[in-house]
Amino acid sequence: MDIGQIPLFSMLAKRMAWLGRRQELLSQNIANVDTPDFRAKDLTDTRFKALLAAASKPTRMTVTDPDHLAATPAFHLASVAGKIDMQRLDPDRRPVPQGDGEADPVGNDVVLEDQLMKVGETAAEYELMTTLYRKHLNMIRIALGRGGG
Amino acid sequence: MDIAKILKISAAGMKAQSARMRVVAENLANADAVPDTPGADPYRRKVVSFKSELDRETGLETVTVSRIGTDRSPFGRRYEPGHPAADADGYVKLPNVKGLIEVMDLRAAQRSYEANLNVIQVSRSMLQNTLEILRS
Repeated sequence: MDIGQIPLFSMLAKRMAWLGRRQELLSQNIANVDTPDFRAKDLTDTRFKALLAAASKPTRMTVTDPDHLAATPAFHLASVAGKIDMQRLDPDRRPVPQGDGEADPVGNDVVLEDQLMKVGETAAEYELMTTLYRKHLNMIRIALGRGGG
Repeated sequence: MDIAKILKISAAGMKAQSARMRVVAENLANADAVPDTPGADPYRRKVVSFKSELDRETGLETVTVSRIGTDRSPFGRRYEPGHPAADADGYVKLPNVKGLIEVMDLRAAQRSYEANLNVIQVSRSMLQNTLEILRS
C-alpha cells in the first residue's frame, strides 16, 4: 500500500511542503528587516479548506430496503464527483510581494511584528498537519489490527 | 529541505546584526578618541549598511553587510586651550559619536537578532513535529 496514494495523506504532505516554503520566505523577510530596498514576500494561500472537504468525502450507506433510513450525504459533498484532480492540489510556490504596509525611508517594507505573527501561524498550522497525519496513520494501524493509540 | 535552509537564512541575519553590534561597540569605545596634534581629525563614526544577497548554491536570499561607511556629519568642539590638540582658538575637535544614537542602534540590532533567533526556534519545533510522526 502506498500511503501517498491516499488523497488526504498526499494533501497533508503538500500542505506541509507549502508551509515549509512559507517559513523559508518569512525567515528571509526577517533576516532582511534592516536591508535597504528590500520588499517583504509571501506565498498566496491555497484553498486548503475547500480541497480538504473535497478530499475527505464520506462513503454513503447502502440502502437495501425502501424502509431503511436513507443516509443523505452532506450537501457540499454531493457535488464532488469522481476523482480529485491532484494537480489542483499543487500549491503555488512562487513568492509574491506582499504590498501591505508602507515602506520606510530606505525603501524597506518588512514589518517585524507582522512577520513574527505569520511565523507563529505557520508553525501552528504545521503542527496541526503533523498531528492530523499521525492520527490518520493511527487509524490505519487500528484497521491493520495493531492497536494504536 | 526547506527547514534546513531557514537555519541558513536566519544565521546570515544574525551574523549581519552582530556585525552591526560590533560597529556600535567600536563607535562607543572610540567616543572620546580625540586627536593628539592640532589640525588632526578625531575618530569618525562608522555606519553599517546591509544588502540582500542571493546565495547561488541554494537560491536563497540571505543578508550580508554590504559596506561599513563613515558618518559625514561634522565633528563636535570643546573649548580646552591646554589640550595638546587645541587649535589657535583653544578648541579641540571631538568625535561625531553620540551615545544615545549608538545605544538605540544597539537595541535595534538586538531586537532584529532576537527575531532571527525566534525563527530558528520555531522552525526547529516544526522539524521536531515532523519527526514525531515517526515515533507514534
